[in-house]
Amino acid sequence: MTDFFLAVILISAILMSGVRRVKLLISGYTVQAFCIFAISFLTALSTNDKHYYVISIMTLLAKVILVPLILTHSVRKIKTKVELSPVLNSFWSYTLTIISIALASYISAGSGILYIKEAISLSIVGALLLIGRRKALSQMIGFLVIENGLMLFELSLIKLSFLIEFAIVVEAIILFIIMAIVIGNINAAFDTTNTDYLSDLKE
Amino acid sequence: MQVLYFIFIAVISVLFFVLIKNVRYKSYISVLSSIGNLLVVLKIAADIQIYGSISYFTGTYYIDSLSLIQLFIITFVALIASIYSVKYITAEVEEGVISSKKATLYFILFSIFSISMIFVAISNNMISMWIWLEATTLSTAFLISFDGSKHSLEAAWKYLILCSLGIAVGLIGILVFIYSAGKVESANVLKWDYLVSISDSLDINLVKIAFTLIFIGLGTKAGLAPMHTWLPDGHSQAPAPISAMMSGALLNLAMYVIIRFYTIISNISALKYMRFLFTVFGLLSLVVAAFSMIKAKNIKRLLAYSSIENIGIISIGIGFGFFDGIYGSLLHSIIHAFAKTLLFLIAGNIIVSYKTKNLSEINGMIYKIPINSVFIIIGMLVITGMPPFASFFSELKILNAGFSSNYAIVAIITVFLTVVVFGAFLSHFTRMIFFKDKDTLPDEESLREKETNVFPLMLSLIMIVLASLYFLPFLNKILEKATLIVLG
Repeated sequence: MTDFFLAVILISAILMSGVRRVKLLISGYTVQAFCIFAISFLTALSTNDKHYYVISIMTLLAKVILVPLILTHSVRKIKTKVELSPVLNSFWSYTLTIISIALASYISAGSGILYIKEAISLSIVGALLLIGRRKALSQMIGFLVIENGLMLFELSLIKLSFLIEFAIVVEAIILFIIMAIVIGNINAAFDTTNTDYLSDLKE
Repeated sequence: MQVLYFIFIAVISVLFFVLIKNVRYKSYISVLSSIGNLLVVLKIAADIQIYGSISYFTGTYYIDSLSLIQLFIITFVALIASIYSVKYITAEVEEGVISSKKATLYFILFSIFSISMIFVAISNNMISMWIWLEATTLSTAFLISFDGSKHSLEAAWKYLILCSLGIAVGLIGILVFIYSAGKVESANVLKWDYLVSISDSLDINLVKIAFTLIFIGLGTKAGLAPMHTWLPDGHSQAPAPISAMMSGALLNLAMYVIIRFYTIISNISALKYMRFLFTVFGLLSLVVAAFSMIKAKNIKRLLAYSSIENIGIISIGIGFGFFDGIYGSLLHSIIHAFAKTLLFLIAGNIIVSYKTKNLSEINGMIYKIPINSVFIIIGMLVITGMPPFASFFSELKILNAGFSSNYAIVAIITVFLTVVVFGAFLSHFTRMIFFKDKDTLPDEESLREKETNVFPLMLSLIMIVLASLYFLPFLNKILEKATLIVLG
């Protein structure tokens, strides 16, 4: 069962890297977050460990419900729909993503760490979204995908205490909200969220 | 239980900021809370003199001489910046530049910023330290875009994206680092002091990957080149007191966290060579900063590049190793903190008087704002490492370590680049101070020397002089102990 969700994560990551419609990016993110919730919940069921129950509930509340809600709201407010001219076009994004997933699988093959492959892939796709897109909103989604990757890293590498786990999630949410506010301010000041206009500061 | 005092002070002051209406009173409370933090740190310093190191709450918080240096820097710089804010913010509110609501936000974020920096310095648990370091990013993002202009929004966006990305990479590094200890179930594995004690049993290959990730990730926050691109933008757009805090305290603090990880590694003899990261990135920062400073056009960007240069020197010192190199780096970080605070606050005064950040439009300072001119000359001499000041001795010690290591060539390049930096400062500042351009010289009315903030400048200068002369025996003891902690 876990393998199924891991596969969904990988496929959604590949699809997201080339998609230009911001709404689809949000759905991709939500699907990934749901898969992470499912994985931690399954782990909780099989180990009967309180720790994983808490993680899965936090993921559900924060990443599957709260973040997509705010994202859809800001998309409606800012009226960003499609990424018109991304830095990396779909072909190159797909190619780079697939190469990097292959590399990640090769590197992590012998490590024996549970979800390391998916974690690395998510981080790379997130980074590609950050670099390859011009709209501030898509860049923020890229950042959120990296955050999902981090969550998988955490799940597979170590067990942290509740308080710390909670603090990390809260911090991610605050960061996300601050980014959303700054994007709103940018949209108000520049009349666009295209980050090409954010290049005035240099010598 | 001094840790609780920090929280108590922050909570009380935030409550007052919300409840009190008068902006001036708010700024006084901000100063009072900074004084409170400083007093707690002095008490901690006294305890450390007796016990060597203190830990609170079964080792969740741990303070030794290395963290004490950071605490000194943070609380002193925050005090100076909060005193500067009194005039700065009240003037902005009275002139109608910002609303009183925004002033409240400023003071609240200011105290969150200070307390998060304090907690980075005292955390023993690396993940909680990471959380507080991220909290500094969150609290300063709004402070950078404080005036709401297009430029400041651009700077804030770059800052948010780059620093959060850097710190995310850092978190992956930290997770791998913890994983390298093997499947230890206890909560101890998250603690510095425990990891130092079991450093022999760590998985060397994983530690290598982890430390590289941590260095790159947190190096972004420390402003090391080539991850520095957010820094000149961010530091030049933030209000002057916040620039001072970010340059003086925050960069040092990110470096401190990297050094903490290095203290674990320096116990593993097979990984001692990882020090080369400090040298390579330090040298690169020095090169980038020195040549950017020559062609800088904006006074605050000039100072921001100078911060990159100084972090580069500190990093090179750690890379050289030996007692001298690390001692020099730690001393340099203290002096740099106060000198950069001084310079950024003067830059704030200049911007208030001349209404521009553009270097070519600032001129005739000695005729118009003589007091600030004297301070800026002294500040330049300190930051470039002129003899009577401690920055000369810190750089001398670093170079001394360099010439006795295998990196003599790096030491030679460092000397050359510090000369370039001195030249850049000299050419910009002599023109600003002594040259008189009739066309762009503002009339007397717009320059208000008497109203500029001079007291905080005096305070930072006094700190530099005290650190250079009077404190040496006391400072020396702490620095020596801290150096031995880093050397392992």
